[in-house]
Amino acid sequence: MPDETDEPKGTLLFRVLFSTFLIVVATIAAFAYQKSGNNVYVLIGAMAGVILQPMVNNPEKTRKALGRLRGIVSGRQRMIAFGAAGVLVLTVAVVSIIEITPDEICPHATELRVLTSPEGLQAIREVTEAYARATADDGCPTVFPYVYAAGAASVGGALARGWVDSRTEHPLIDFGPRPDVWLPDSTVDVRKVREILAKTLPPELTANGRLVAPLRDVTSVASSPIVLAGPAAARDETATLPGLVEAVLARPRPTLAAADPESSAAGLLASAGYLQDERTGLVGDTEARRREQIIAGSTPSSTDEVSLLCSYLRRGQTPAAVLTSLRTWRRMVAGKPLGPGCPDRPASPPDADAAPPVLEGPALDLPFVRFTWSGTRHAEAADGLLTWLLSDNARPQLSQAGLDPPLPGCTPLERNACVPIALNEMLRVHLQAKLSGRVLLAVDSSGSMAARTGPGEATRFSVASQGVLESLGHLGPNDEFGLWTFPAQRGRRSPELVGLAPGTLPQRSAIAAGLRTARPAGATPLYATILGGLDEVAGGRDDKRIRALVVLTDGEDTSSDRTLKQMETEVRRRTGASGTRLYVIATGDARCEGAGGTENGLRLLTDAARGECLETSPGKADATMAQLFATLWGGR
Amino acid sequence: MISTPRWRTLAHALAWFATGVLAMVFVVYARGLVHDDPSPLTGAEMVILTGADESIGGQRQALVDQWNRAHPSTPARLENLSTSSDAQHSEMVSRAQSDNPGIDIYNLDVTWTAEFATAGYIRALDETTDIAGFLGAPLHTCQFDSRLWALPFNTDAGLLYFRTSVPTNALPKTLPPQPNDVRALRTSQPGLQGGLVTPLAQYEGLTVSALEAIWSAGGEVYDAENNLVVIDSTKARAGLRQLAQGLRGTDGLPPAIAPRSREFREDTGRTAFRRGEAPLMRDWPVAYGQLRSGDKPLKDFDVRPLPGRSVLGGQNLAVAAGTRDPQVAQELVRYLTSEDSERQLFAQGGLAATRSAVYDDPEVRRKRPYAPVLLQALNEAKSRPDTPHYALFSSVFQEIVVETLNSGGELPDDAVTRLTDALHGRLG
Repeated sequence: MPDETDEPKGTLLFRVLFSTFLIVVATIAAFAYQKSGNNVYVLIGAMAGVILQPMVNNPEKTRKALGRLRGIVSGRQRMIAFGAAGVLVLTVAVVSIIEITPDEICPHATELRVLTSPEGLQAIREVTEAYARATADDGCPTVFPYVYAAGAASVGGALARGWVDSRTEHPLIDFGPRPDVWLPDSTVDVRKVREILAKTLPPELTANGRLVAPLRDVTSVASSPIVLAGPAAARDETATLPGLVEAVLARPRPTLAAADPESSAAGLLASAGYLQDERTGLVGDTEARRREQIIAGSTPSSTDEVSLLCSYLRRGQTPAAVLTSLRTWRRMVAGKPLGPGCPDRPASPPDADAAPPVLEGPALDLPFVRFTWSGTRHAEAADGLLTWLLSDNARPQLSQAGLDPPLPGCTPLERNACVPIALNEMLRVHLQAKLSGRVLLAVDSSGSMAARTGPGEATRFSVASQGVLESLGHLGPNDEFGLWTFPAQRGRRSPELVGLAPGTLPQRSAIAAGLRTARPAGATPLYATILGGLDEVAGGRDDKRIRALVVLTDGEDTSSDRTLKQMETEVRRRTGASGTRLYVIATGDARCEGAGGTENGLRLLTDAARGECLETSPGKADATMAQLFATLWGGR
Repeated sequence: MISTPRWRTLAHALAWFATGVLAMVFVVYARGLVHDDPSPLTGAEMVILTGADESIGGQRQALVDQWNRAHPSTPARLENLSTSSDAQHSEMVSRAQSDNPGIDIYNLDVTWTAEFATAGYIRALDETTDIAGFLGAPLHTCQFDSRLWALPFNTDAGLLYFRTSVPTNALPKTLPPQPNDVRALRTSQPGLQGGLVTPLAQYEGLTVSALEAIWSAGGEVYDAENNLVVIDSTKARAGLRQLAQGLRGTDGLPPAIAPRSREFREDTGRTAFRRGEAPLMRDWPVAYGQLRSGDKPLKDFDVRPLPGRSVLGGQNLAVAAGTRDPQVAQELVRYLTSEDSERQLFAQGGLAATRSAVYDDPEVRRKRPYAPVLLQALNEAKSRPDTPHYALFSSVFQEIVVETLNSGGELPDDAVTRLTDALHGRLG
């Protein structure tokens, strides 16, 4: 403590001045603290001030001290000391000006948006997580992949447009972020985007498989062959895929499951197994029709191969014979997650062969697509992922996810070794051979369907109506189609808006006119509509037709005393003899699962009628409906 | 005297102290000059990147329309993203990292402030920003490292929904309900299959439910003051064990938590509550209006604050670091979070207001009768851990909770290490 008694007395003026000076200093310090947002700066400044003060205040003393230092240390040592001090000051200045990051916190990784197929989602998630770990420095990843899924049929237009809105599509809302990388299952998916682009560009720009913006480049990073799996499939390594399929089809009461060629790249490639003949190339029209009938009769639900195999898993069954990618088959056998709508930890089917024979034939080639819209940072991150995927480091991760290394000749967009040459011919044969359908669509027109799908957006009913009109575009000349709305429109006793009839132009016009006049109002007599609709579809003459009732609803039944269990029994009874299938598009408050498994969800009813329940947001109901109808008119 | 050596020395020291401090102020400003591009571009459209507007009647768009009518020279536009918060986060971060983000305002989830601030994606608001009138908890989520980075746009706190057939004295004292609570519930609800519906599917809802269970037992996951993960404390373990045990029936009683909650998200849980699968539900306030509307509106339910503390939810508006006109952007943020805007968002759109005065408005109370209950819940709500790597932290926390629930309530041995790594952004 200083001795106050020795303190000289100051004048009043000095005391006032000094107090004012103290206040000014305190204000400056407070201002500095507020401005810096970090008192470390204030501390550094204060320390520097205090250290410098005696040196500048009393230069003579400082010079003497330095002189004494000269006697102790050599010139070389002084040079080193001053150099080190300079570097220190410079470092502090740079760190202060540019960034101060605590050591224990990782810097922020580059976000890499990876779009993939719904069937490949789980596998790609696992592989990209391994990549993030591979980029880590002291545990800190430099890239953080965000993986999400959408089918090529849905996103093709959005990709070609540069992921910007169109009149009916809002990709950022409907599908997710604009991707830096697209990893679909097959080159045939990329061809779809190129075909959309080709329609708006001069032919010479897209000739010979040439890529145009926004497609930057395409590289195959993995593969997975299409295999015939299941207990009914022979294990003959010397056979061909069409040969093995023929053997299955030659059995009494044959069964063969496969995904839909129009909804899934794997399904399209799998059709090479049953629409091609071992000796003569493509099978004839009559044989193609017979085979399509067998597949339609033995495939429970087939928009894609994940939903196909999931429908077996939910029942604890193994398909007797199924054409699928080896990737999805391996994952199912290993009990790995397959995708949304499937059990998280599926039990491995007891009689499933983990390694069905891999024969020469079509394969998924997993094209890695980069875009011209990516900025520098994201383009570099995409390049890094591509390089890693092609390196030996990625092989174990790809293998664990069920994938094989890329195959030679599988990168080109045209003449790709993984894609059958006669792909377009196969699709033509499939379209000709598929069964005609007798389909009744029942659209919920209750009051809640008047709700808008978003601010300034169309109502749920308008979106559903758009889906109906789009679905009519898939009608074949022999298909029959009818439209109900429930509850019955005001002034009507029946829900029928347009009766079942061939999809002629007048029929289509009647449907469009009926939709325009319909007004959403009232309750949701869902169960009564389902039972009435099933009876309606079961009528008609041609027993070879695919009969289906498609119900789009956004809520629960509000008009029936039946429980869901009682409905299940009734639906099973009514569809058992007629073979009619029930499909539900559940949107809004309607739920397929209700919760976990099939219990208490609308899937209970669709499973009873060998159909499918698809959940979708109100804004996407039109796209979901169009996709379902493309499948239905395919005889599935 | 001024020439007295001791006084002079002291005065010189203070003068040099002040000089040093001012030098550092200059350094801080120099840093700002390096990082900021404050050149205004008056007349440019203000772009607000946000999750899709889920308010009733599109009230966010209505507010932007009102702004545009009043400010024709600086119009604003909402750029809507998916409703999935993961997808929103990915697109917002990607835009912020891109060469030309073209974004002026981000509508950030309350858990992202630290990430966007430390990464330099957003700029701090002026010190002159008026923060009077905001609720304390939502405002706190806008602050990081002693600075204000955003203003609260909407807030959220969990509520306990209960069927009115449950007598008040049978409502649980804690969540998850204890065996005595289940016994009381069963008395009033014959045929009870499960007491409570709460989202336990593996997504952010699981983080929320598990945090609330841990807090309810007096535990904590992260001790921010000491920068320590404390999920292995006795109380935190007890909270997780109660969550796991709640999924199983004990002593011949039905489970305290409907077992199918493990598959529930908010929407599926809501459907189960509507169906009467459980008489209690933990959900956000938005469920109130949803349950009361539709073809079959549910009338026989009411709400009260959770028995324990709720997780605080909501979104905050922050000015993008790359905005071409920081002044207009900040003015727009102020406008969108003003008392009138908050009143409109809550009364018309059902989005919980961030300003306390709105909850006293008689018109608001008429349209949103649960407003006083919500305000009470908000006052007691608690923020999730504040870290620049919240997304990774939450995802690792969910994995740990799933493993704990699968093992009957036993915390994995490496839980603390994994969560500590995740808090710091490390992949364990």
